[in-house]
Amino acid sequence: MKVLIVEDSIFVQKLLRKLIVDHIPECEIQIASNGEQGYNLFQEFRPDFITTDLLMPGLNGQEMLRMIRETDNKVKIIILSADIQKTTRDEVENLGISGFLNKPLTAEKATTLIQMIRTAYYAE
Amino acid sequence: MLNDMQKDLLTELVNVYVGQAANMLSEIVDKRIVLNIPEVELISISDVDPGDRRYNIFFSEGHLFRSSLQFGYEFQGKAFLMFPVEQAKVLANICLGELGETIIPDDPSLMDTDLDVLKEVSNVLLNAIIGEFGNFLEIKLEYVLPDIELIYVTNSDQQILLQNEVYVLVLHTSFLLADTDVTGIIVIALSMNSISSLLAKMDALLEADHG
Repeated sequence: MKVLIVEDSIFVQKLLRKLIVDHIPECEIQIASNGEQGYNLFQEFRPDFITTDLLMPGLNGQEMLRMIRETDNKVKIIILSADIQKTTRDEVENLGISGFLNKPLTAEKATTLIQMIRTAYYAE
Repeated sequence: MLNDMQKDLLTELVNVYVGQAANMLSEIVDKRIVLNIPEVELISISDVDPGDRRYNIFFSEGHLFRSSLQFGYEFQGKAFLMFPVEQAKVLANICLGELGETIIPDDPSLMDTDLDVLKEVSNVLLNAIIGEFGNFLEIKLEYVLPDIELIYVTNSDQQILLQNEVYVLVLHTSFLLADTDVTGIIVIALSMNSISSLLAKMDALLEADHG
């Protein structure tokens, strides 16, 4: 199981990595700090699952998502964003995502995220 | 410049939005947040009396950590979250402690890791408030990445936040992390056009409510 984390905050990067490793130790994880790095890693690493922020320096998460969906409709993508606007959620949902979680990552949302990764893993 | 009903509704909206943001902070740090009642004022720069304590609460002399989030285009403005530096350090330590990071006790300086945490916390809090304005107005707000800076405020530059606007709607409130002395201040400044849009939407809501 390969997971790509796209997130500009080092704090949240560490939080997500720890969460995933603690619950699914067999996961192989790669981390990108913006959309451009995320897209490049997506092409090289070919993850099964991506969790991405939206507002990031350079290429943002929404643009990265659009670029990924031009060539790949299978990879499961979860948005983890502080943006609570309904319009934002509607826009990214139209691009084909598996879920949208608003920051902060609470215990409840962390459980949801792990469940989503597990579901994607066992669906393979 | 705001009538009583407009001021009441705006205060209520800000109260709810800040309450939601505080709830998010509470979840991050696992502590109760004590909120103060927000104050809402539409002011012009010429009305600001440097000696007026209402404005000095967020311009008191000293080092501040300040995070700002600029938003636009249909609804333009800037939101600020500020903490005295030593309290920002306490907040960063609480967050990093949750992650199991090593904390150096009694070190008051803000490291890169602290600034990264504070930037993320500010991002979550300010988005929670400003995003709800977008939902209320039913428009999409575009954000610029939040800026963080450490500033030294002296008694002579009390208008530092207000210097580029003729009129601003200042919504300010403060909150306290229970069992700590961490007090944060939130200020939202809106451009005149945005204030008009907001008032029009509020008036329509008030009119519908009262027939």
